[in-house]
Amino acid sequence: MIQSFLVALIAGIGHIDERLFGMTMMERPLVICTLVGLVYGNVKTGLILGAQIELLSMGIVGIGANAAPPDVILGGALSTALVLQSHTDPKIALALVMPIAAFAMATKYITYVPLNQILSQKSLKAAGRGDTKTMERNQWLGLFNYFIFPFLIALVAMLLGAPVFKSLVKFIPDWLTGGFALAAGVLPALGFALLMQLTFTKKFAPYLFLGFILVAFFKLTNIGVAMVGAVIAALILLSNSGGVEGNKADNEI
Amino acid sequence: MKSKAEIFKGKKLTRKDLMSVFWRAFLLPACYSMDRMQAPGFAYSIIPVLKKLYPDKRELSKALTRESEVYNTTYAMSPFILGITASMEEEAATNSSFFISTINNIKVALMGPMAGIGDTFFWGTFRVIAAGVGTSLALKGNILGPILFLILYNIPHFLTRYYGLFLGYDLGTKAIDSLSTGNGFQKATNAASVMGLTVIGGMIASMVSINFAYVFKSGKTVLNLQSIVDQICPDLLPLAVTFFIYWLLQKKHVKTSWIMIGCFVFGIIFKYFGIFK
Repeated sequence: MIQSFLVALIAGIGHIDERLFGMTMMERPLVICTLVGLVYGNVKTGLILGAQIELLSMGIVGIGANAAPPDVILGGALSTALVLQSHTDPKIALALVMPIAAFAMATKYITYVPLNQILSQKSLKAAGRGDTKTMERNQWLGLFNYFIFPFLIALVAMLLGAPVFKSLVKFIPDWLTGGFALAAGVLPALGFALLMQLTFTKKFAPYLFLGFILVAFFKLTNIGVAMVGAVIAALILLSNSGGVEGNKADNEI
Repeated sequence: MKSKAEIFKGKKLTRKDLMSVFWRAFLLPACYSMDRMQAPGFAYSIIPVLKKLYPDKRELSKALTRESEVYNTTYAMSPFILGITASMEEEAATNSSFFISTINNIKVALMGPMAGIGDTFFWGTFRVIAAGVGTSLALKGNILGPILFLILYNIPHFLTRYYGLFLGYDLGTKAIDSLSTGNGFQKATNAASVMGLTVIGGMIASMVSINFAYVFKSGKTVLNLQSIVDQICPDLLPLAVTFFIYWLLQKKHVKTSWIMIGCFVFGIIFKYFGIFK
């Protein structure tokens, strides 16, 4: 009971990372799942699941106006909590993340999305009256909605779903978990492919391969690769051409 | 960059006013709506500035209304635009020949480029690097993973918010000129993309794991397919799988959820028949 409450609290706080703390990335699975692991006294599994879920969901971001990404906060928190409280194979969590995340995303359209729409309208009217008090109050009310609904959804899911899940996992056969393990190894590729959609172009392709070669052949760590990347970035910033075609401003100098 | 005292010389607004904008900007999307997006948060953030500049209630409500128009950009870049807006509002309040419509025109002109730069830097670069370092530690069960992840990401995050605000205020309407003439922003975006992609390339090799399990046996000769691949190019399969998924997404427009389901289905099949491990 207390654990369910704490998991719900983590999910709620995760949701306001973006709304109150300016998005510190505390909402990412790497942090959320570790905290859930802490709740169940199993930080190590929390860390590993957090890293795995982080990698597979890395490219799923809400960028642009059509942003309606699956709710990885609830997905990560609940899937980790379910496997930890039922002592089942952690790999099951990887298969649960996205279905839960998709369901959680759907719930927001009947909870805080319409409510904050109303608040936003009221704020606009208040602006016309020069009523800053109401505008300020609505901003904090909107924040409250962003916290309370994910919190409640997570709490209900834990209290109702956990016992059902516990009785279901007994029937999961070994060939299924073996397949999940293979899928778990491949899923980060999806995360990276989604990220590549953001920045990958022909012009920048060599840098991706450079990073790959540094690790595959030279066994460099991620920190090492980041530093090599930083050096190249500095070279671009310091160069006159800047890797941009037809730049007048620099030619004049 | 100029010192704080120079920025505020001969100005109505003070550092204290801008600092209250700084703190309020953290709540930018707290009352997000589908139509005006982050506009309520933008107006909320700039309230202290407007209250000081427009003691007259009618002027104040006009200013609040124009700052409540549709607004949306990367969170971390917003203090920069807020700084510019504060500077323009100050101009509007003191100089009667200032075109009020300039304020929203400049805001709208900045939203797109700032989102482009912001998403490349914060989503595509800082977060990727921080996650690369964080996850590689966390996978080994090291608690430093998430801690380093947060630290690495938030140092540039908070610095951009803080200095962006004062830089924006100092530039004011000049910001548009410096954006359109110089190619500094384009250059910086390119540099960030390069850094992000280098790290992604490395992570494809270190984080994606798939190997041939299949072993050919004919008579006495045993042929381990994976060890042959490893001699030619280690981690070739992870690279191939990543590009295959990229191709599905980019060229075939396959939905993410289908690819995810596919990973599980093929994972079960390939594992069962012992093709990959």
